[in-house]
Amino acid sequence: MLKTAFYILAVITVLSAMYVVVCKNLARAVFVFFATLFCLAGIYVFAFADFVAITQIMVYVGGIVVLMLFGIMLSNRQLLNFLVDEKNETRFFSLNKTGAFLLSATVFIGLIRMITMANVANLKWLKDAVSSQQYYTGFENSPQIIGVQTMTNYLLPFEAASVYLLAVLIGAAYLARKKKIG
Amino acid sequence: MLIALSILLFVVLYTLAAVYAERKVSAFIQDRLGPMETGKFGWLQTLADILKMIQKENIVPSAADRRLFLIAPVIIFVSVYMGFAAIPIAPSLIGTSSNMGVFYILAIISIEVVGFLMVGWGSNNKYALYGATRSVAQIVSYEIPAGIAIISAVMLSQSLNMNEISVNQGILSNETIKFFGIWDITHIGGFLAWNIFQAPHLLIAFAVYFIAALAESNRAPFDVPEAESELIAGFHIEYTGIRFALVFLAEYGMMLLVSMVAVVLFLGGWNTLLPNIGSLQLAIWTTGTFWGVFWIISKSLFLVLIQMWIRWTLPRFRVDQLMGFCWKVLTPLAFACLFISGIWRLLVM
Repeated sequence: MLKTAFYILAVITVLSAMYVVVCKNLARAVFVFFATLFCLAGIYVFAFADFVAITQIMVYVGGIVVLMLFGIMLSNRQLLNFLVDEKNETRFFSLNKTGAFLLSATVFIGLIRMITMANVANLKWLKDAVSSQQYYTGFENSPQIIGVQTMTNYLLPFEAASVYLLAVLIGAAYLARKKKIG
Repeated sequence: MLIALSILLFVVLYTLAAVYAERKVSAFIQDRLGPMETGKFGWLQTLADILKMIQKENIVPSAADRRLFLIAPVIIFVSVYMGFAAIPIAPSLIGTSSNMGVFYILAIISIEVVGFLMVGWGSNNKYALYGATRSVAQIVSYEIPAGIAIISAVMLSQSLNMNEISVNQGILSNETIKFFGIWDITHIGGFLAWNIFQAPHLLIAFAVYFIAALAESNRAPFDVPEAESELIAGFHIEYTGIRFALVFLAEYGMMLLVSMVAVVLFLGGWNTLLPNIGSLQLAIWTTGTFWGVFWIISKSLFLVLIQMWIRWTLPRFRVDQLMGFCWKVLTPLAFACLFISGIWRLLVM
């Protein structure tokens, strides 16, 4: 049951991500991207990272996707039409795309090789964790653990991130301010 | 599974009743009669409406993006419906008792925004696009005061689990509860133990949340997204038949969901209204699974009634007033509540 759910989520994630890349209708691509991010959140739940999953929905679905859509809606429709109008001479493969094709093939083979080399089932630290019974069961109060950890062990990175975000906020306000005429 | 189905059934039936109630309430407030012809006092009116909607032709405008147009109302409704999963209905009755219930509901509500944008873009209609843009701008802004007001309540309960938050507001609590931080009422319970009476500043937080929730469910006086006078009907202008019914269902479902969240966080959730008075153990007699369902539903329906009352009493805000009110009034108030909550937790509790 759980396995089926995982595979359904995984297949939807991969297919929708492919559609986002291939699709020439920009608005529709963003809506499908929403499906990708949502299913990715589901996969996080399977990795016991439910806090990350909900944060993913909150930040990416509620924030980034909406921001992208606003960007599309506020830009001129005619500007985006070149994507739809552009006709390729050959539908499948043309010679000037060889470089891109080679690059993506290399990355793909590299990733596959990495997964096979990792030998996930026999990792030492995984086995140690299982034998010493120090693993996550999914019933812990993860927000509390995360909160305590951010306020103790990871306080410096947390503060650094907040200062960085403040700088970004000020920068954004500066860029969007009313400009003096003349 | 059973809980999920019964919630779905309840939401549908509640919407039927709420649409009828809305018409009658508006009629009483504006000194009219409301629906009178279909059935006694017009109580068959919404049933007749549903029959009409089901058999209506499903029109897709030729200029619309067909797939987005068809799927958008479903996304809007499903996102609202998913929110009900984390609401505790009775002491031991909850869809999923997650440790992040509150956070989950906040996140799920934000999915609705994508549905609105999908409606606006998919319809390929000026009014729909304006309505959707307004609705999204409004929801995204009002999420901030709503979220901070929620956090100030959560800070006192020290848990994001909706069920634990409810438990801490009644006689079943394991911690000591104090009325206004002074009077120990752990064994008295009743309305005295609700969050808004445990810490008085949560009354303000509750008001902030309730106002922001009105805006999040696009209800008057925050209904600029469907302003009839300028945008005709706003984002759902192109919809007919069953899909229009889905958008409607989502709006009323959203009203119920935000009311339920308010009830759980501030008004004691499934806890009883009646306190123990000496040997009159009213709180103990009226706590249990059946009573829990009764209390949470009656409290949330009361809040829904207040939403209707506000809708038919107040005029609509202008867009700039709406944003100014959110950023200049509600957000500072919510932050003040957050600050007081922190001090309250450290010094009083």
